[in-house]
Amino acid sequence: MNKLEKSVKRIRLSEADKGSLTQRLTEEVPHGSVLSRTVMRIAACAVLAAGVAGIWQITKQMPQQGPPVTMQVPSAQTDAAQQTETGLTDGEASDTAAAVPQETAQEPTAPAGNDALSQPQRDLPIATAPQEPTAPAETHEPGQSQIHLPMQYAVGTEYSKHPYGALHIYRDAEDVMVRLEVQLDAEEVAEILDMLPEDGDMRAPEKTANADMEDMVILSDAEGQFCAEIFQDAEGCIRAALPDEDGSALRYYEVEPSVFETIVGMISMPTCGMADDAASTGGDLVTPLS
Amino acid sequence: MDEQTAKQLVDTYGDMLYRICAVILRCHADAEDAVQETLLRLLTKAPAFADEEHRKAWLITVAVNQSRSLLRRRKRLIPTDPALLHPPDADAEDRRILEALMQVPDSFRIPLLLHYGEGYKVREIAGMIGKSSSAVKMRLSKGRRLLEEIYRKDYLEGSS
Repeated sequence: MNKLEKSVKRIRLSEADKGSLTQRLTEEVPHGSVLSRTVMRIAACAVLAAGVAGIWQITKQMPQQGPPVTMQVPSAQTDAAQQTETGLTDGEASDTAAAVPQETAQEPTAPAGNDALSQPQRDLPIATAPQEPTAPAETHEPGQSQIHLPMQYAVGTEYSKHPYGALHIYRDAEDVMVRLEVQLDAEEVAEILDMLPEDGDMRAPEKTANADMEDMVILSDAEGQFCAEIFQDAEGCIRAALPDEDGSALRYYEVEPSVFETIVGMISMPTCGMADDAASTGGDLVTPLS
Repeated sequence: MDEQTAKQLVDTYGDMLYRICAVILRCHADAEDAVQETLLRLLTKAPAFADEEHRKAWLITVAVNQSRSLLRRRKRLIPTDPALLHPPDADAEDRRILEALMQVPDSFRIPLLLHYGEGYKVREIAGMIGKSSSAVKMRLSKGRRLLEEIYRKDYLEGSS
């Protein structure tokens, strides 16, 4: 292994490369930029605090009903904007909150005060037919979009831990749906994404309601960032949903059964560190619906 | 910022960061970008470090994660950049070892590089790449085996 050290040390920047790197750094960081960034951060924190207070007020006024949910899919630009004080970003060991899959309740569309709607969700006979999976939503803010999940996802009531990550059990109008949310490290996710086909479809297929646990897998990276969702559609076809390049919409891919088996095999491998991750986080990789 | 400070940073950390990014990304241009981004983070975030070792470990963590992030955005596997396999003063054996190393999967290559290339201990590597010590040990052990297998297959058995 001494030979490895010696060989690796041969890899270094040339003097010309160092010169151009120095030049680029000089140009990229003008004087005073650190101060201006600090001011910007303070302003952003103030805006965020005001936003949280507003959401809290809205939440307090909401009746207890199965709300539509949205899943935030941060784009590359948003990732950059979410860099923390520590300077750590995508896939880094940071204090960034696990962002996705992040499901947040929105203001209900039904009139407030409806008796049936004010019942606790768990006790409700679910009269509403599951919504058709909606098409990817339009972008609401630059660099970030919201993707509306079908109503059936919104009535989830149970939550448990799983050796691979967090297991969500959802109840829809007809059956119970189980969803496994898995955390992988960046290489593992990259390896899985490499296996998926390249031709995607913007149309959301109808998802099957009684999928087995392994038929619904949410992949997220070590930061909890949404990477992909793999599921079985109503026709029994295995599909993967991935954010498109700018993260503004989901794109759907058909996955060969053999590829899916390989992916599930990778996730189940004890060597991929899933058990450690799940144990260390207590399974709190995602926020359960209540 | 003034050129003198930038030059000092590049002289102090440039080679180490480039080595790490190049071994992970296997591409000279991407590695340069990752190094630049890492040093920019240092300059713009200006975190407080306890000592020089802390600063170095922080830089390595950012460089590793920056490189992983770039890897993730790649849609396809790309072949290893020949420039990385043939550094100016490398002999034939160095090149063979580098070629074999670049064939080891990323998850094993990074711990191998940090341990044998940069001299970090298992516990320190665990902190840098966000894995448990036992996972790092396992990856080092398997990585060594893989490296040896590739090297033997490509060069020792191939030449006999």
